[in-house]
Amino acid sequence: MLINKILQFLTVVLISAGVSSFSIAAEKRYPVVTVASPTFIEMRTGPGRGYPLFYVVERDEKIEVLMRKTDWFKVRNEKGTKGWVSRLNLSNTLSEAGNLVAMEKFGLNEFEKSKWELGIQGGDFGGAPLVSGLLAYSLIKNISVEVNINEAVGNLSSRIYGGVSILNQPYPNWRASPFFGLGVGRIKTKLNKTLVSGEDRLNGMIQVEAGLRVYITRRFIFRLEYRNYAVLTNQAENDEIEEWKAGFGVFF
Amino acid sequence: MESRIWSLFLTGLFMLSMAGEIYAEGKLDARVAEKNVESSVGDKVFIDNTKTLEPEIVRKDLKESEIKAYDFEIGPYVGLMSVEDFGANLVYGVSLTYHVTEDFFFVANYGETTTEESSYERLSGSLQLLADDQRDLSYYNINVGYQILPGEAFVGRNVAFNTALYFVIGAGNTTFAGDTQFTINAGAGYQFLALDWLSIKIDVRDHIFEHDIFGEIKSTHNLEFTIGATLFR
Repeated sequence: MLINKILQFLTVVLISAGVSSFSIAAEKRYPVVTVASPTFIEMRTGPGRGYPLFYVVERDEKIEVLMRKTDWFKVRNEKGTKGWVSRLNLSNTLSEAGNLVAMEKFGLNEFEKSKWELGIQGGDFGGAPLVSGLLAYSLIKNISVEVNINEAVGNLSSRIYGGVSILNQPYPNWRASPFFGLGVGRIKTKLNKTLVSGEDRLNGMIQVEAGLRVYITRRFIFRLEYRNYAVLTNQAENDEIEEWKAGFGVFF
Repeated sequence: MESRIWSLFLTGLFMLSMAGEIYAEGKLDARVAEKNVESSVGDKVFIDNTKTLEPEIVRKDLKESEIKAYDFEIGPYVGLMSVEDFGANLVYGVSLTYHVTEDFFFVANYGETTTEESSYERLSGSLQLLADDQRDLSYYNINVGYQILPGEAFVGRNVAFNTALYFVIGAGNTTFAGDTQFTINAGAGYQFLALDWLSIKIDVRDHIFEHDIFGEIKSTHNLEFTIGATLFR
């Protein structure tokens, strides 16, 4: 079964990752920052605002930054006390060069500048419920390329389809930024054999699309889009299928 | 089946190898370098053997890329999945999680189980609704999750582990009885962080999909209870 192959692949990947982390572990050196006057920083027991405060690092103390989980950083002071500090707290420290640590903060500005976007969507494809995943790369400020894969399962048939599109965002610096696009793809139609007779089909298709990307917070965006597909069949007329979908994306 | 045992063994081996990482965190080190300072007054040369403190590193600004981020979680899970009318059976799966913020995360799952005969098939004797290969059920789903109630679990007086309760909701597809069905799934789970990079998850999900195996379209609730380990990368 597929799961065996996935599990085997996973263990090989994980073992190699584990071995590599073991071999470099011996000489690991972490970045050091100094708590700047006139502030102090607070350590929590876990990477989140819900975990309790348990320690205060005073000014001029040196701390090592060990790792990061989302917007929280695990640090260790010279006495060996370890805890988690927020991004805001860490920006009250000085780097080894003596400058205030400027941690990049994800905001609207990064949304405009971001290159990659990964998203998941749900929706409706010609009456059938749809699950969709996408990866987009922005070439220049207004133009991006998007690859997507979708599966729509109806009562009579299920369809797997995907393709590449070129998108134009005329107003990339708007918080709610509209986009328009053109694309090509392939669609595989599998018929439900208990209800209809016929053969599975593989067709090419082209589409036009329009949508809206709305910046929510941090790395999150909301996406809403409409697509009109022309499925290129060898019958007298091409199939025309409408698709609506909405979902979330993260940019990085 | 052997390959599964083999996989579990290899996973165990990996976790052992990862254990090295926790012992590897060194102490702050400013190195003392011995340096001879020469100075000359007139034609006499003095050699000063005092030790000077000289850091070996170049002073630099902190770059975020230097700090290793552990926002992804990946790992296998195992449990029971009750497929309505077709028995509760062992289920295996893998999950991939991406933490967007301290609260929100995305999680994708893929799992497989083999169902057994329905009561109807067993009572009727020789009648079979499904062929053998149609009894395999596989699913995938993509979900949005939200962590609530972060906290600590205390083991004895001095040892505490971070824990969190989470909710997930999402959609995907289930392949069963030779057919693929759109599936909504929702559930909740408990995450126990044994180490910063290793967690144990207990997860309960309801997979809701329709099928027409009994002649008419029927909406089914399929409950899944699993336990898994994940590694943060």
